[in-house]
Amino acid sequence: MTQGQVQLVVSNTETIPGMTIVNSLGLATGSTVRAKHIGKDILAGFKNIVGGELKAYTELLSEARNEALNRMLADAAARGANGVVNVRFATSSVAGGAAELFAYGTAVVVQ
Amino acid sequence: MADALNGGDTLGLVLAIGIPVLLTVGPLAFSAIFGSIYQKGKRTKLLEREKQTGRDPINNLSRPTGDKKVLSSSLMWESVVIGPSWWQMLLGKIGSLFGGRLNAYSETYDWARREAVQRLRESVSASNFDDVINLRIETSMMSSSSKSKDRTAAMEIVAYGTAVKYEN
Repeated sequence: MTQGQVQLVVSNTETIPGMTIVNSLGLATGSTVRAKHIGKDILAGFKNIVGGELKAYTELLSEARNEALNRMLADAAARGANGVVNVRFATSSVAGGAAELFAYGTAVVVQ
Repeated sequence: MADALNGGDTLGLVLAIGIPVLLTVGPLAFSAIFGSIYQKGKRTKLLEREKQTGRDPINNLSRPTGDKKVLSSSLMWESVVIGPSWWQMLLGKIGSLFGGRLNAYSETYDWARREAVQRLRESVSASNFDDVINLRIETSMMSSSSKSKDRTAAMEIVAYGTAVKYEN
């Protein structure tokens, strides 16, 4: 699972290794709110009997995180950036059963 | 009850006590036995995978070490959602009455973290990167949709970092 758009260089370090940052274009953000599917919820409840990984949730959140990341990249691309640095993820549960996934970083022009 | 005792109907008494006990203890016993077998299996698999890839290419320094030239880099992440079994949750609840160390929980989450990091290692080497720098591990609880009936206690762990490829 990597970034959705190939033309942008994404990194969670302050600089991009092997490249120099020419210009900073401000904060790029992307977020999405996803709720659990009730059927999956019940299945996950059964899976909780033995414990371990809840694959349905892993998939759901991976998908959601990818979407948040892609929105962030679209935001950065709209500013004319060709890279995003210092990307951070944040997750918070908003209402019962729903989670907000948030990705943010600094849009930059790199060479 | 009195009738059963007077009449010596022990079968009725056994059933009257046995069935509720079986219904309450049964799922927990099932959870304790199969949960430990299942989780042990997953752990031995994880240990094997860790041996295969080696524990190396990952660190949380903000820039690559040494003076190797970096060819390309990219953000990579992997996540895992994991929950303790009913039995472990019960142990945790009992343990939290007395305070102190809750082994049932700390074990599950420790292994979950290792799993997430191992997945990152695997996907990074599958995409032909050499190293991961600036690794961050983030944890978040997933809330349950209904307070009373939903017994899921799930925790999401994301491991993310910048994968780099060096010039040889």
